[in-house]
Amino acid sequence: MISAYTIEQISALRHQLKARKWLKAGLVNQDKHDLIVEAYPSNLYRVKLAMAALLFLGGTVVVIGLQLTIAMSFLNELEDLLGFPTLIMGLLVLVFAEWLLIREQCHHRTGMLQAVYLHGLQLLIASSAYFFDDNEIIVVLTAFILSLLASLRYMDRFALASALVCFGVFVFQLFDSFDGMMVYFVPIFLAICYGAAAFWLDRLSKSGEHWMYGDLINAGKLFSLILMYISVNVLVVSSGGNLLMNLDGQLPFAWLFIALTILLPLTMFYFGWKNRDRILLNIGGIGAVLSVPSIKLYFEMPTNEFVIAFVGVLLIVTAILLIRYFSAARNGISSAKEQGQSSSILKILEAAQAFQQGEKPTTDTFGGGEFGGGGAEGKF
Amino acid sequence: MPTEEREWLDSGFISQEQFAAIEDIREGRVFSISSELQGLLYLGVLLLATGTGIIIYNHIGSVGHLIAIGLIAILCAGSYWYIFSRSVDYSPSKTDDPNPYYGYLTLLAALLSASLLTYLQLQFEAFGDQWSWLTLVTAALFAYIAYRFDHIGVLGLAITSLASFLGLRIEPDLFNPSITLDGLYYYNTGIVLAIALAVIGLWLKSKEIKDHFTPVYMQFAALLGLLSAMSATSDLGLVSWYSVAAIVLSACSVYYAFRVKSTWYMLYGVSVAYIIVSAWVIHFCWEVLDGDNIILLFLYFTASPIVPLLLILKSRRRFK
Repeated sequence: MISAYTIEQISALRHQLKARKWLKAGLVNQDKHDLIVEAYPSNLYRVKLAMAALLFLGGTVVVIGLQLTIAMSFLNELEDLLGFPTLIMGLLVLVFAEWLLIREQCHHRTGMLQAVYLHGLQLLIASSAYFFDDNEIIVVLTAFILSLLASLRYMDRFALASALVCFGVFVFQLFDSFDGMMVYFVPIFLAICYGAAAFWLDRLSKSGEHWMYGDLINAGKLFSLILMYISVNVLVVSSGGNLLMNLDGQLPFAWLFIALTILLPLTMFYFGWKNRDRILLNIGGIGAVLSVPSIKLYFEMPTNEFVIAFVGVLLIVTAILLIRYFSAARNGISSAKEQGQSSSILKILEAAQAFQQGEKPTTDTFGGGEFGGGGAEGKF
Repeated sequence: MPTEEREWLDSGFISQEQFAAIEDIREGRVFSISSELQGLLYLGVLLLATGTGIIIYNHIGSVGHLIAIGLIAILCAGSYWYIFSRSVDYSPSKTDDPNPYYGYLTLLAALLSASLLTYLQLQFEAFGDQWSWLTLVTAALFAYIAYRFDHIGVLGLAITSLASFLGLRIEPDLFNPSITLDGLYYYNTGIVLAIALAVIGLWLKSKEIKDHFTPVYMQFAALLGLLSAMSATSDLGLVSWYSVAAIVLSACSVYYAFRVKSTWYMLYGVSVAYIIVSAWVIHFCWEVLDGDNIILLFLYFTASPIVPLLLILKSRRRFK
């Protein structure tokens, strides 16, 4: 198994995280949550976001300070062989991460682990630049492969995002190395690749085959969809073309990118709604909103304050109408909160049950029962 | 595919009904779009408030501005009518909004009021040439709305307006060293306002008056105080009482982090303290050792974070 963690460790962690999730939704009470956490103890060391940021900063300072100290001490002796000490240092840093942080202290996305292993990867990538005479294609390919392996090994979303971006850069450099028109096909090629990745990860997620990597698979799908949209966004492609290929605003196939900037997020939104896929729905919605300034900036249209205010009113009215319309769950879709202090998921469930009763007979599960708050005690 | 919930069912942690309810959500038979609609609402409020602000800025004095202002006034009056007509009575404890969009309309009313007040000042010079009084009145109005309608976001706006009245602002060249008398005023004001906000927040909590607002006061206090002290140290040099103030405020932030079990105050406090102490060490290596022994500096950066990191790792259970 490529993961640095055992199935038991990840399984226990998933139990704890899920117990917390359903506790927040009000479907499991505090006592049951505590019993579940006790029954599935996890020795993985995890911290909150702010603490992870602090540990990441601290860890980065330590490894960089250590590296500079060693470099300053031995630089003169090793100047001609810089690639080897960099490679060895990178491997040593990764061994440190594996043995001390993971095996001994069971760090899992603590910030410090990321600081250490990312530094190790940077050193390995730097050494590849030395060994391959700064060949950019090979360096980026190395970065892609190492980031991908690290994301699977440490189950880290940050490394996965880095791998996907590196893939994009690699494709651009590869196409750019060919003479002719090949480089103009990079955005479309990337969009197809990221779209295929998102589709494959979606299938993988639904099959449940690699349940251990569930979070990573979902994150991969999210990043792939974002990168897919970025790849065809007319403003990004146009700015990138100007910057990297001196296109001077003359974007080939501009009509195609304009169409995709508008249609792609709407398609995502449609399928997100149809399949009740929150990732697709959110990326589609955000992409649709972003397509407006993208098109506006591409055509250098002036800002019209009356239009801004009017769109604001339109969005407020639409949102209020939708909230009211879905306040009674329709076809299982509801505007009630699912998580948090004022979660009203129980109301949604009751409404969904009421809706389903028209289709199939169900037991009188929630009707007038005592689910709210004490639902976990089984008094329905 | 092992689902954790099925294991819980088999082990008797949850009942069949709870399992069925969880499965309904997992399988998407029940789907909440609450956060998406709230996002849409928030975007709408931001666009409307921004649009009205630009309308006033661009069209003041032109023929059509009265129509535009009239529309904004109608929107503003409509928002206030709605939030007053639906509001529950004032209570010192937390009150629930009557519906999911009530909070957003409260925010809209506050933002539109600020736009209208700006217009009154621009057109009629309601506060003469004392523009700062406009920000004070706006701050007072925001504070009233925040407490009356229990809105944390508007409280943040009130504190920002108050800081603006006192002349505080964040600029890109905040850390650019330049000793000016104005700078001294800003640094002192920033630190004093931070202490005042912290005292107000803690006092209100002790009196149980909207004690869920206290984290907002404390967040502003921590960030404002630490930033002011740190930028003053950067501006006026390490040999000033501001560096001591930065260390003291950092210690207060870390103490408060342990008290309320919040890792954010820990992050602020430890980061600022580390930057100030490191600045002292760099100053020592450069000025006293004349930059000869630079390896000492690298050794410091290697070893120095280890102590706070170990402390953080050891104290992690206290933040659960």
